[in-house]
Amino acid sequence: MTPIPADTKVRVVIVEDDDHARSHLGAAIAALPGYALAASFDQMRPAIAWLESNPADILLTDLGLPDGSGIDVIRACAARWPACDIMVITMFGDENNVLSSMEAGATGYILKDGGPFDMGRMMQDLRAGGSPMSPLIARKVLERALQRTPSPAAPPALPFNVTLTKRESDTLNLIARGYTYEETARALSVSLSTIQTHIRGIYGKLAVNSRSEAVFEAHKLGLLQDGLLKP
Amino acid sequence: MIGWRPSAARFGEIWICILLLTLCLLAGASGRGHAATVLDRAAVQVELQGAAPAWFADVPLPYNWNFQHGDSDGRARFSFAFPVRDTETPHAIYLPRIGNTFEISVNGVLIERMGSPGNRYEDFAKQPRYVRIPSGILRQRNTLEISIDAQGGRKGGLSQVLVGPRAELDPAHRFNHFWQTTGLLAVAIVSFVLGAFAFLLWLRQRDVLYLYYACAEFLWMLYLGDSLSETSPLPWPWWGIVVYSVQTTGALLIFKFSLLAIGRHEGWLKRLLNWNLLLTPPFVMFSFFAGLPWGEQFWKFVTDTLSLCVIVTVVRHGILHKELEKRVLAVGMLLLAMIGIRDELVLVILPYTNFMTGGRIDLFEQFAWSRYAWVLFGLSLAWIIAERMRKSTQEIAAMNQTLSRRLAERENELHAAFALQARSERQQAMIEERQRLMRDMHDGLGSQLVGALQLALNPAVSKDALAGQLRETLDHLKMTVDAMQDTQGDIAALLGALRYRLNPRLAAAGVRLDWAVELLPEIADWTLPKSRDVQMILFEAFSNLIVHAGARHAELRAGEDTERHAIRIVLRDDGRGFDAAVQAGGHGLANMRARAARLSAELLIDSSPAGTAITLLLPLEQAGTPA
Repeated sequence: MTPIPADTKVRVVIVEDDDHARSHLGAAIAALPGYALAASFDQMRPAIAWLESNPADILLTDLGLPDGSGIDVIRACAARWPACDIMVITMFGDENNVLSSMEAGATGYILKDGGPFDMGRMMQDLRAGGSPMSPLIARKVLERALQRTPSPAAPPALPFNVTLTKRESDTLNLIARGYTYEETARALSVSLSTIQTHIRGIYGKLAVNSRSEAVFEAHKLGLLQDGLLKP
Repeated sequence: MIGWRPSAARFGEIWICILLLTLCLLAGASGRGHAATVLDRAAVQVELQGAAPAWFADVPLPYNWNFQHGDSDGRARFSFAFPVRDTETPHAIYLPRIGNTFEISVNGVLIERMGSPGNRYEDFAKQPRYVRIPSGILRQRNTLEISIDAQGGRKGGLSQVLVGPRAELDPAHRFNHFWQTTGLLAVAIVSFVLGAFAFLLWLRQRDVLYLYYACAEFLWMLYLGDSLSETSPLPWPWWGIVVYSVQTTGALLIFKFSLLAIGRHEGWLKRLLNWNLLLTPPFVMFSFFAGLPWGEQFWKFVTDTLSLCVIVTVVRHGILHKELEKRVLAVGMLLLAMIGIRDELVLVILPYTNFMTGGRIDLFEQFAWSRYAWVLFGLSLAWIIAERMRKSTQEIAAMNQTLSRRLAERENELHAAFALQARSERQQAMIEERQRLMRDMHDGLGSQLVGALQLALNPAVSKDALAGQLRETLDHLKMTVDAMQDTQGDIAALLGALRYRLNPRLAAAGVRLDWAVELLPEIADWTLPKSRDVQMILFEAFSNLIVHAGARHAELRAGEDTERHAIRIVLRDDGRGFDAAVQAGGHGLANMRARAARLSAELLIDSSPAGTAITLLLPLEQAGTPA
């Protein structure tokens, strides 16, 4: 987490194909002191191309883009600018999309529901601990960690799984049952920021997990040299 | 025969052995004693039927009536003079061949008579005769008189006669007797048994192979029976025709059997054999009554040539092929051929040349060996049957195996098909479930949007009210999405997701919600529609709470009720109560009850102006999904 220098604004990039939503978000960012809209795109490829050479501190991206999936934008940005916080814009915040995004490297999401949102608060949350994790996502992560397959149609257990610390799984357990961050912090006798840190850590593990998977798969396919996997 | 692998070379060896054996037996064929007197010349008075008697002073024996007089009937009287040294020793006369009927006198005393002259039903020439001379008749010098009555062509006549002490003649007689009588009887019985066995086989299996063999053996048995019997059912020459036909037919049938066994029963050979079979009786009859002297010989020549063709075919086939049954058959045929040739030589050719040249060899007492050779065919038949049984057993075993394998494959296929079907049925059920869910949700959504539209068109309605309605619709949609996530009986997650969706509205309405959801047991047999029902019951309850009851404080508790084996969910609020909601005109209550019923859950509503408590008791054991 890089502190925002007093004389530099946080550079935000928006990738969203819905014009109305894009302008709405853009306006919200612009209205926020300390934040600046560095670029906005309605397509995936130009965004990735731009990110190649231009840095970003925060990326807000939709998933369903006309020329591809926002997941690729997330991945490209996370690879190019590891310090960048990435938020995915999602309609429902359904677990599949969110988890895919987390695995790609996102640490937060914005619900596109037209309701008022506190952009400032959201940016803060994002920087602090990532966006609030929904109970269903928490449940999904717990499932992954315990290597339980939720349904017969799910793919078999992968060689790398998310391993959670006791604290992390306790946190997720409470969140999965519907407790808020505050209630969770109270129940576990820790501070809210601790919970937020846990959550961010879990998001990070998801991303690592998916990167490790990628490495493993690449190695299996013979794309990497042997030495890379040796401890 | 284990390990015996016949090859062409081995066949050659066998050939030679048989030839040598034959010659040996030929050579030492007489079995006579040394002390016996051989009477080989006699004075004969021959009287042919319808002719004057003729007298011959010195005629060499054997006197083969067929050779001498062909088909003419007649009688002959032979006179001998013989000395006897020791008149006290019991003597006997051994006549290898005498017939067809005869009388024997020594020194004028009739000592033996067999048959009555002129009786065409009788033939006593088939066996060698051993006549004991009663004591007291013999003198130093004796006369022997033998009268025979012969039927034309019936192999009558007189062979060389042996006179001597019984002790000398007994062995020869016994030897011949055994082979002519006992041995023949044994072979006849064997033939009958084999024939009967083959016939039974044919009855069961309807393979014409067995029928040919059975008929051949039966015919051969008849033929042997005739050799043993001295009276015939039919008079000569009819009986002769019958016997010859039987003999030839039997042989031809055996040839057909052999050809069938090697799979060569076809073409010109088959046709010729069939013609031969059919034409034998008529031809012989014709030749006899038309008086063709060489008719029988000619036909025999034809049959013999055909037989030779068959034998050559069978033997060659046996050499070329590996099956043991075919080789056994070939060997049998070969032996038969050898024996047939021997018989021909010994019984026909040599005596005839002897007769013509006046030689001294007497083979009159010889008998056909081929009658014994038939037993060999029994052997080959047994072998053939055994081989066939073995092959069919193998085939059946192989077929069984194939059948079992196919059955197993079929079973697997069926299993796979059933599994596939079951899986697709399950998938179908799941799809239908989801479709029902979607319909349910779309209905709900649709009606809400319609409501929102109506509010929008109503100028009296405030924008806030409209916004509220639309927000509720959006929440509905989000919950729809949530409902599609399969929580699989994790009620706590369901409640958590619901709170997550409703938090904004609760916060906006200023309702403080206390949340107490314990670790809940998973409910088995949980389906998506059930998730939906629970969701909607609580959503309805929360909506009432926010919108109509005007509550400020709410509490949701969820835990396991071990007594009732259920999950107990209680939502309390301090609002105005449910009656107000009913008055506000919602179908909510009815819907809630309907959904609770579908869940087999108990819904308790305790409502008063002081507050409302809605309890949902979800049984842990859910009934299976209705079809």
